[in-house]
Amino acid sequence: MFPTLEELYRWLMFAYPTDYRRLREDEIVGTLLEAGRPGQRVPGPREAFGLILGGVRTRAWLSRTGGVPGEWADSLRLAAALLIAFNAMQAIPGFFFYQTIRPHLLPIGLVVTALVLLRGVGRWGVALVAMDLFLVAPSLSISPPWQGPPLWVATLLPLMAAAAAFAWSPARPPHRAAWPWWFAAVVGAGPALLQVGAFHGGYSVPPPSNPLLLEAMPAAAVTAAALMAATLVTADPRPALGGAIYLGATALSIMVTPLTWLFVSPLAVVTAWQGEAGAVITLMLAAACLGVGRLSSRLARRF
Amino acid sequence: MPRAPMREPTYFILASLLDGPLHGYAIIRKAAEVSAGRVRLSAGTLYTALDRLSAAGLIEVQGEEIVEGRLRRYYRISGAGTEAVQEEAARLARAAAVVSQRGRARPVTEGA
Repeated sequence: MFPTLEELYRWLMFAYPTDYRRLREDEIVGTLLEAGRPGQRVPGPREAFGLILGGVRTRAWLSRTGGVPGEWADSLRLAAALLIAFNAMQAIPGFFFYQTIRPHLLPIGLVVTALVLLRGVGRWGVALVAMDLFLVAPSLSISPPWQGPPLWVATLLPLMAAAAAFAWSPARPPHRAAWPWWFAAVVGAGPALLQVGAFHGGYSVPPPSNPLLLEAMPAAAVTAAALMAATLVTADPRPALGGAIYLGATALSIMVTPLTWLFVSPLAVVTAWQGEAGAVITLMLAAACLGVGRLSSRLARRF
Repeated sequence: MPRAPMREPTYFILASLLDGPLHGYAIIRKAAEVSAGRVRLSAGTLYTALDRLSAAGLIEVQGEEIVEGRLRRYYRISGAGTEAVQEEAARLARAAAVVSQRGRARPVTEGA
């Protein structure tokens, strides 16, 4: 039997958080039924789109607290989540193609990373992030022969800073209503991970120190685009601001890392130049994210 | 510090409530009427706006009733809401005056 118009509206209401539905669903569905045409059997596209968008924006809005400082704190944690997800996923091609990670560590590392991203805040978050680093970072520390200690340090330091930023939490509980934020982290990290998988060498080092750095730029562009799109859809500045921090930090890392290469091998000067070009592109993407994030932040304060 | 300009749907939602409390569907109809059809609110847009206006103290829930088995919740504009919408109306009037007064002072002549 075909569902009634009321049932269809109630299905669309799943776009809203559970607590919100409990309070408002009957009222909103009542309004929709009153506004419907006589004999109407299915929701109109305008109302359906309005409900889905309203639900997504309500979820984002309810998960925001603390004004501008809270916004930046969340954005910093989003950037850290991106970096942690990126580095964990990067271990996969290293495992399958180059055996650069110890076999028994990979599945455990991925499970712990997933836990960190889902629940990695508060007291338990610190322990999880520490475990995650212990499990996943060894994949980065097994370096190809041409790679010396400076790169190892340059790789691990940003990860440790990200872990510290991620584990730090404002005085509030982790909120399940923040799903657009995690969605943005997954969508943002995904393309970058696929790009890493497409590389033919250097799986054991992250893109900032990869000789094929410029090949990573389309992935960085997709990441930035996904985060900016998430901000525009949810009317939540945090994904774009998080992207600005993530890409800005990446650009900084790219600028610094090629210099460390010069201490390892004089031949690295060629790739150092590639690195600087990549840094400029990444910086431009970070600036675009910052612009979209700040505009969204201003608009969010308007009635 | 002056308020940021109000979004058009918000302005007409508040303007709709100036005559008295209304429920959701009545706000949609009234906003369309007072805006001469410019503002056609979907339920998703309406309730997102109502939530934010309530949180800012510009509107309040007055009460609710069940009509034909459907829940209706009535909203009324608060003192702060009335002040905000009047301030916005004055801002729009000042902006309109800049153009209309100059238009009267210097009529456009064809071929000039």
